[in-house]
Amino acid sequence: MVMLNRKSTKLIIVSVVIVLLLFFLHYIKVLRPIENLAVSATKPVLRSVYQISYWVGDNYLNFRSKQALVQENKDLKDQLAMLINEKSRCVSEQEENQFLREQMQFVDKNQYLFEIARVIGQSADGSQNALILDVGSKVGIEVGQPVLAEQNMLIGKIIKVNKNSSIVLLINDDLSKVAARIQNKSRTIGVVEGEFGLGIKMRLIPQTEMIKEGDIIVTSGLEQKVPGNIVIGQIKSIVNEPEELFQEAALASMVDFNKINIVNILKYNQDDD
Amino acid sequence: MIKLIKHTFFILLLAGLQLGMVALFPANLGKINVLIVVLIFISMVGRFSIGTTYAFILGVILDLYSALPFGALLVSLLLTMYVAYKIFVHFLTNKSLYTLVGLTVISTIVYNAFLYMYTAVNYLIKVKDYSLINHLTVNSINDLLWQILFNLVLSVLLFAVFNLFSRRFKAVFIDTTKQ
Repeated sequence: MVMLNRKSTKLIIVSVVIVLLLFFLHYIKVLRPIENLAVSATKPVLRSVYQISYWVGDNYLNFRSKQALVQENKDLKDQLAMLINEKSRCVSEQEENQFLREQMQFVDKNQYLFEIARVIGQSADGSQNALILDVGSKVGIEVGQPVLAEQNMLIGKIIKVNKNSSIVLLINDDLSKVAARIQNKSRTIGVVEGEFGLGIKMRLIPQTEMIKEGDIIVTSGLEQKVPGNIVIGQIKSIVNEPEELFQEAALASMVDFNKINIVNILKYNQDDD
Repeated sequence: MIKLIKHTFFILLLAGLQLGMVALFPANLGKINVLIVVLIFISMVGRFSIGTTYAFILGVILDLYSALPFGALLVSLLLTMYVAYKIFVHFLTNKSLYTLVGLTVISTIVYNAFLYMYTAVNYLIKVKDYSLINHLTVNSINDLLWQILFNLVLSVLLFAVFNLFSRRFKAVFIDTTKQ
C-alpha cells in the first residue's frame, strides 16, 4: 500500500512537472514548431469530421425543413379551407342580412305579416319547378300565400303545407297561375303563367290594350291571399296575333330561380282588411 | 506500432468528435462533452493511466484550438481525471453501471468547475467586469445541467453497447432477490 502510494505520488509529481514544463515551453514559444505540426496533423481530421457532421446535419435539416414545409403546406391548406368556409358563411350572412333588411322595409311599409323561410330542397318529384321551405302550418303558412325573393319579387305561391315544411310552386312552372296587372295607364290585367320551367308569360291581355316592352308586371290583388302591387317581372317581348282575342307578353324576372336560398312568405288575407 | 496507430487514430477521432461534430449538434445537445464520458469509460474499462494519457494528449490538442489561455483545458482534464481516480479508488469499489454513471456525473461537475474557475479568473484579469462573471455563472450552471443529462445518456449507451460484447463490467445491477 505504501509502495503504491509512493508510486502514485511520484507519478503525480512527474505529471505536474511535465505540465509545468509544457507551460513554460509554450510561453517561451519553444514548442511552437511542435504545436504547428500538431495542428497540421489534426486539422485535416477536424475538417473531415466537421464536414461530415455538417453534411449530415445539413441533410437532416433539409429533411426536417422539407417535413416542416409539408406540414406547413398542410396547415395552410387547412387554414385556407377554413377561411373559405368562413368567407362563404360571411357572404351568405351578408346576403341574408340584405334580404332581411329589404323584406323588413317592404312589410313595414305595407303592414303585412310575414314569415322568413329557408329553402331546404327542391320538389322530390323533380318534374315541377317547386322548392321545399323549412316552415309550415305550425307558423301559419297556408296554401296560396305568395312567396317573395330578393328585391321583393314574387317567385311563386305555396301549393302544399305540412306542419314544419311547405312547398312553393315557382311562377315559371307550367302549372303556376298568378293574377297580374301591367303598370300602365289602363292597368291592364291578365294571368301570369309558367312556360315549361324556362320562362314566364302573361296571357289573357285583351287585344285592345296598349302594352309595350319594359312595362312592369305586378300582382293584381284579385287573389284572396296575394296582395296587389308585388312585382313579378318586366315585359320582354309581345306576341300579338290579329286573329287572336288576346295578346301575350313574355316576361323577364329579375330573380334567378336556380339561386334562391331564403324567401319571405306573406301572410295576407283580403278578408282581414 | 499498430497499437500506437490505433490509439493515435482514436485520440484524433475523439478530438474531431468534440471539436467538429458536437459544435454542430442542435440546441442543448451541443452541450454534451464526449471527451469526459469517453475518458471515464476508458479509465474504467481499461486503466486510469490510459485515461490520463488520453486526457493529457487530448488536453494539449484541445488547448491548441481553444480561445482560453494555453493549458486551461489540459489542466482541467488532468485534474478531473485525478479527482475521478481518487473517488474511484477510495469510494467506489467495483466496475458497474452505477460506478460509471456516478463517476461521469462527478467528472462532468469537476471538469466544468475547473473550467469555470479558469474562465472567471481570466475574465477578472482581463475585463474586471462582474456582470460578465454573473452571466458566465448563470450560463455555466445551465450548461452544466444539460451536459450532465446528455453525458449520462451517452455513458449509459456506451455501457449498454459495450456490455453486449464484453463482460468486463461485472456487477451490473444489485440483485435483491438473492438471500
